[in-house]
Amino acid sequence: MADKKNINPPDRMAALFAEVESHRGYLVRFATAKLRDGDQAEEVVQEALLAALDGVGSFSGQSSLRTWLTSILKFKIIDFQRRVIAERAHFSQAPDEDDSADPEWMDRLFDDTGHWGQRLAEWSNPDDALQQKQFFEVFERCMDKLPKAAGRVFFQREVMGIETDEICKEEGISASNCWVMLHRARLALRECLDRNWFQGVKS
Amino acid sequence: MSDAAELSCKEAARLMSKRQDVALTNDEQENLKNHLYQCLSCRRFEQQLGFLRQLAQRYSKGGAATENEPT
Repeated sequence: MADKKNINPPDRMAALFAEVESHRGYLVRFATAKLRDGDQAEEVVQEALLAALDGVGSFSGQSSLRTWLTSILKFKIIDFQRRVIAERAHFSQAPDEDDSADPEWMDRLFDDTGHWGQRLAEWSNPDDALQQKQFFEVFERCMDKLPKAAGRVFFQREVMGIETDEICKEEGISASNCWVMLHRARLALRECLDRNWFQGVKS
Repeated sequence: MSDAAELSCKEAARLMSKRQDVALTNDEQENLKNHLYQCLSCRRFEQQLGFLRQLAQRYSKGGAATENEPT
């Protein structure tokens, strides 16, 4: 008779699947910041996740699962970029549609004399927010609302930790343009977190 | 004192953001310091910018859970 106690490994596998899957959103954002194309990003993430599940035995647990998945993704992105370049000798990038969407947006945060339109409130218990899953969901939603180029630059600078020089070069924009985009992204994220999280937290 | 420019909050915010990416010039630093000394909103902005960076780094490591790193 087969020993019924053997149901454990498949269960563990399912749990692992679910855990790996929970990082997909992050990884897609990471890949989008690099590849500038949402569909391509999804495709590469899919490849990376499959590879990860395949090689999950080599995950040592010394870094976080997200860090490990990210390292696999980085290789897949490089692979993908090589493939694309090989396929089309002419890899012309689509110009960015969106950054001019609302240039005065930033000015509205400040009054005519350059003062804050509204006094900034203190954020209470920010460390506590860092422990909460919902807070990171708000953060993701706020990043998704940024103009595409600004979101990409912010992600590369703050999440991936790339130096501004390198980002500007890859994006093909001047350093001052890069700072303007980063600054706008930071202002917008600050606003968004303030409105969607911290104003509701009192204590 | 005569050559120190009075910054507006808007300019101060821009400098604080820029400081996250590159070093400011001495003049910029001095002007910013003077402004922060007298502006509560901008001091809060400074803190919140720092928090935003901390948040993004935490996010890159797994978010709230930061798995496999028992606390």
